[in-house]
Amino acid sequence: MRKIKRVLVANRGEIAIRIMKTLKLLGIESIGVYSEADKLSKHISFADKAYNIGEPEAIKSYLNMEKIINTAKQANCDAIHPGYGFLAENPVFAKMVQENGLIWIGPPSECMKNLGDKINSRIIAQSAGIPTTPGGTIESIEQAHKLANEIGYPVLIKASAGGGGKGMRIVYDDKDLEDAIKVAREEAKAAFADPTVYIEKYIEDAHHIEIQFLIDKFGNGLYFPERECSVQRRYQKIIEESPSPTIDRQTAKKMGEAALLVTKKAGYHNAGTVEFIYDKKSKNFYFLEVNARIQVEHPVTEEISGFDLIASQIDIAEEKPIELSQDELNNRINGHAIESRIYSEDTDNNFMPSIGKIEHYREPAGFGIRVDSGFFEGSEVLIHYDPLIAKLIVKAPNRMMAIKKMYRALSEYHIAPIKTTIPLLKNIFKHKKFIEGDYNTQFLSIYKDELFNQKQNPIHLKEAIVLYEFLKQSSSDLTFSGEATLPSCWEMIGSWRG
Amino acid sequence: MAKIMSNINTNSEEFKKRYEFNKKKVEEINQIREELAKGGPEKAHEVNKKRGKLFCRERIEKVIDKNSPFLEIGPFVGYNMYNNEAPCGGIVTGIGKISGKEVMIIANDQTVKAGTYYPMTIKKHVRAQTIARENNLHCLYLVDSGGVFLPMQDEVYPDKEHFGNFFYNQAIMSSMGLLQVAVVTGLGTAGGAYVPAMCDQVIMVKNQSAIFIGGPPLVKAATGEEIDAENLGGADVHTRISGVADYLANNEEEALKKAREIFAHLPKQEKFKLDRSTPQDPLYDPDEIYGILPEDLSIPFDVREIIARIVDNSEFEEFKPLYGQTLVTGFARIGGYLVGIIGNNGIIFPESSQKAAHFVELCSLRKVPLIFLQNITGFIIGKKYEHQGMAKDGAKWITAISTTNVPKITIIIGNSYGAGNYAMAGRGYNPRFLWMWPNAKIAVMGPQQAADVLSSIKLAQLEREGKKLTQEEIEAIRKPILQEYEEKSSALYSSARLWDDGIIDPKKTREYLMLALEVTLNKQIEDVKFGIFRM
Amino acid sequence: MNIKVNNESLEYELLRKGDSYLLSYQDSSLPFQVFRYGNDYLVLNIEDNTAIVLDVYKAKNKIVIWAEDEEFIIEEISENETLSSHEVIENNIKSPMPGIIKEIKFMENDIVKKGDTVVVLESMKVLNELKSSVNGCIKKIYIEKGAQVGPLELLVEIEPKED
Repeated sequence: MRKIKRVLVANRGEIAIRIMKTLKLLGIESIGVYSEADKLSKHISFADKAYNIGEPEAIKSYLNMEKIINTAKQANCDAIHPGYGFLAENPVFAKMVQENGLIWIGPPSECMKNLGDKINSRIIAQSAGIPTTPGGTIESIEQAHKLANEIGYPVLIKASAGGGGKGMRIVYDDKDLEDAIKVAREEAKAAFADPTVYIEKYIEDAHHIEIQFLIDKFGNGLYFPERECSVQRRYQKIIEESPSPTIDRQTAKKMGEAALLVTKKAGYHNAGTVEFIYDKKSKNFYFLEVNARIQVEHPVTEEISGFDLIASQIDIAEEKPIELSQDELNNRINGHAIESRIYSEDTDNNFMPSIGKIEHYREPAGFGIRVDSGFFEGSEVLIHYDPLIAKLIVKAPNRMMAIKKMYRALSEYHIAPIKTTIPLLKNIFKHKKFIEGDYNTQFLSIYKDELFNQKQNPIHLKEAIVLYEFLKQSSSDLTFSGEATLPSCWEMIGSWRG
Repeated sequence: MAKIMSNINTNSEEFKKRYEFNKKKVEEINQIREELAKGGPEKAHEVNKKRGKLFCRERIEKVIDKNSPFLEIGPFVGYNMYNNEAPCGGIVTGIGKISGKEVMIIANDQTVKAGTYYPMTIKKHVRAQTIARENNLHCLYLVDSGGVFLPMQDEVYPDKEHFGNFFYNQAIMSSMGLLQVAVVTGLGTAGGAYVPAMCDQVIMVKNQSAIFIGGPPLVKAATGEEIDAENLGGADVHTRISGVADYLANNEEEALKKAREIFAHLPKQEKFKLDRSTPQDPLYDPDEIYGILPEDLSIPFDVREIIARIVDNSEFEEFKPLYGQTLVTGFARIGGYLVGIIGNNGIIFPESSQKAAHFVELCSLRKVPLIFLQNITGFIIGKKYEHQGMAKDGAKWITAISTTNVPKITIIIGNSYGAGNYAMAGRGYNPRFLWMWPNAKIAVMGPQQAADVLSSIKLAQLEREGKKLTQEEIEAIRKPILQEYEEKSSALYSSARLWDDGIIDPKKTREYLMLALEVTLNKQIEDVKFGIFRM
Repeated sequence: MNIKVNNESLEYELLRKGDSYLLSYQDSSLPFQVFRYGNDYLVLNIEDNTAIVLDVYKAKNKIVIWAEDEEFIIEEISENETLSSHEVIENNIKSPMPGIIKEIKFMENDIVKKGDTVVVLESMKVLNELKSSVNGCIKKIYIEKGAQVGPLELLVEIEPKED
């Protein structure tokens, strides 16, 4: 067993804060890093000490492997936690960390490399007897036609190296196949510098279901109840809930066992997630990919299991064995949890990032409400990074109460003047189909007219008008921000000599 | 407001060429500025140090608020004049914040001929006081001067805006409630004695500063009395016996600290409440200005491209965009402050003159400061325009900008030729500040035309003498004339003579304007009263 | 008064009586009172005897108000929003001022794009680039290099073409 004493958290925003909070609980010192643009960001204040690692562009700071490792050594750290995004799934970095005598809080580098490649991970899954969506790599156009007809249309063309929807194409008819492959190859090449694409069956009533698991270095593993992540925009999740309203307990158990089987076979240890596509029509599930890191939506699992997954990651990195059995874990599970992602995006304008200063910020609070945020009032949402402001997680005894609680918490979440996903999320939690649990990955596009730009019949409109007039007229004790409080140019410019 | 859509291709060859050219030009200018800022010769600095005295620029750094700007006025004065004996004119002037107040600082450079006053020193001192008076700024004098530079006394002493004008200005400003403070760090002799004496509050440094109407040699010559400087008019004498000074400091640092305290206890002035919103940087990088300005000023460029790189969020609400298009007028914000901008996009026509006069009227009634971006070769000529009344339309404009009540700030970004200079608030029209860009030109007419006129006079004379000249001979006469003319219309030539307040880096124009605008607001904007507009 | 609430304009009338307000909106007229508590505001509907606490964000031209589970973005309708400049596009190239033709960059029947410089005119020491304001084809050129032209003379005729 090794005892970790000081950890460098190679990330920013809410996840850095989330990790640092647990480190503090465990009596471990945390070292933060920040780019020029993040000098005044919230995560720095949660670190025991923080270091400037370079220019705002991620490539020069949060993705600068050497700089981060040197900083860790300079600060006498014994481990690095990568969070998610940035360097979290970079096997080269994981290897470098270990070669520099530091502990990598994550899965082994070799295993990350094998699972990181989509084709390779499918082969591993198949060899473990886990079903994958029918399909295969495209070698030639003729072979592609043959394969597509075998598995049956519609089919999906995907980039081998990719994610995030880039290089992805749905084809409904044989005659469109050739063009789609061409375009997908070009996109894949532009986005990932690798034109390899593969073909797979496109599932129409598809659900995105994933299994969180933990595996220690002695081969003990645990799987958690499934998370349903089917509400997505641009192939990115905005709502996750656990357990799923779609699948039954028997299937959930099968998926959990499959997840452990495939990852153990790949030599995995630490926390991770296996993503599956669930076909509601046929009740089949297919292996999709492994996320070899802590995920954005991990709090959902934490809320219903009582586990601190970051603490578990550190335990495993410290070579502690998992002592709990799967049955014991199953007995601990209770209630229902939902997470909403609050992005600074203009939902009525194709989810364009909305950057700028958060001038007004109030978080919701109360029983069963958790906010993992990376911002405070006055913080700036920067163009250089992911526009995730916070994650709002609620927990309640059952799904219906969780939805109600989420709606109330979203109403209490006041952010201005930047635009956020809050209004859209509120519409989703009021939507009949969502409430009934009858939704799949197409939810946002099918019901877009009801969910976006929705006209309401507001109840408190009159009060709002009166208050507006009151604010406009009683100007003596109240100046509209924009006057009086503005800094003088002489103060703004600072030490300047022309 | 509408955002300006830029048409500049930053990847074009032309852009890159212009960028390199202007960048080099700015570097050259910066180098000259740095050289001038060193003040007098190395030896003089050594002597100064030996006496335990600070350099005037060090004094300024110590007296202004930490982390605050210093807006220097006239940093190129004296360049290539007086055999380069008086860099910066031997005096450093500029606006800095002292204990939160904007103050005009006038500091003698004792390393330049013992801080004596050359003609340009006088001009710069008076210019600094004028800025203070026009913008309601308090003044701090860091006195360390041996009085007038005797060899040139005829050019510094007798006239209206010469030495005597200093004290008149001090008295007037004091009566306006603008505090006049002196820190005497060296000698204040003869006329120099009156700079501190005319101040509201005076600080002297023990064993270092002295003030007297006549120094020890003069006393000896006149009365036979033998006395040293300290006993004649030292800090002790004036703070204990004569009452000429008010505070005694043990050293310079203490004296400068005292000055900060004096300003700290001054009530804050009410600034003019100009409409303001949250400041925003321009959408386009000001650095791109380098790639927009052509090397050759006869090639036109769209002034909107410059405006886009100066104003908040690149937003510009253009006034009369379809009328008199060789002049661009409109409203924008700089540092959040609402301003009116007038820029040139070609020569001036009767329509553009009327448009300008109209726009100046708008700004005057609304009390919105005016920014002029000069790139002007003149007014249109020819029968059609004379008959149309070009002169009376030009007169309307000049009447408007002369009698307007709002602060004017002028930047010469390109050409400044002929009457165009007047209409665009040249020096004669009392803009509160006037700056030039490094490649800008100022003269009564363009160099090619001037050289033609000048050489044709000479050629005519030679022809009368019966000489027949070849093309080469003509060129040989024309070329030196052209060269001299070009040199005399350069920004450096102008700035050395204080025809402007300094040459500035185009990409820093926004900061200059932000600082200057706030300075002008110290003075309330009165109601406007125009003269007669010729109709 | 005319304002925009959540991007929809609406009309109302408001009377101030001492410290209470009388709001006429749609068909009803209701009395209200407003109280301030720190950064929160309590709005009392006197007739219904109901009170509600509102949270507010104020910017220069916009106010955001949160009332229970509703969010209102209120903006004043500015007059210039309805204004837009109408420009009549001139296809042909005319001389904006008298001058000398320095350069003609195209020949008849050439295709020009919007923004292409067609003619360079020297006037008063300045080289003026006269640009095409449309995509099109050069139909006729009326001038030649070195020609002296007066103001508003037709120099080049351009036939506009789609694409």
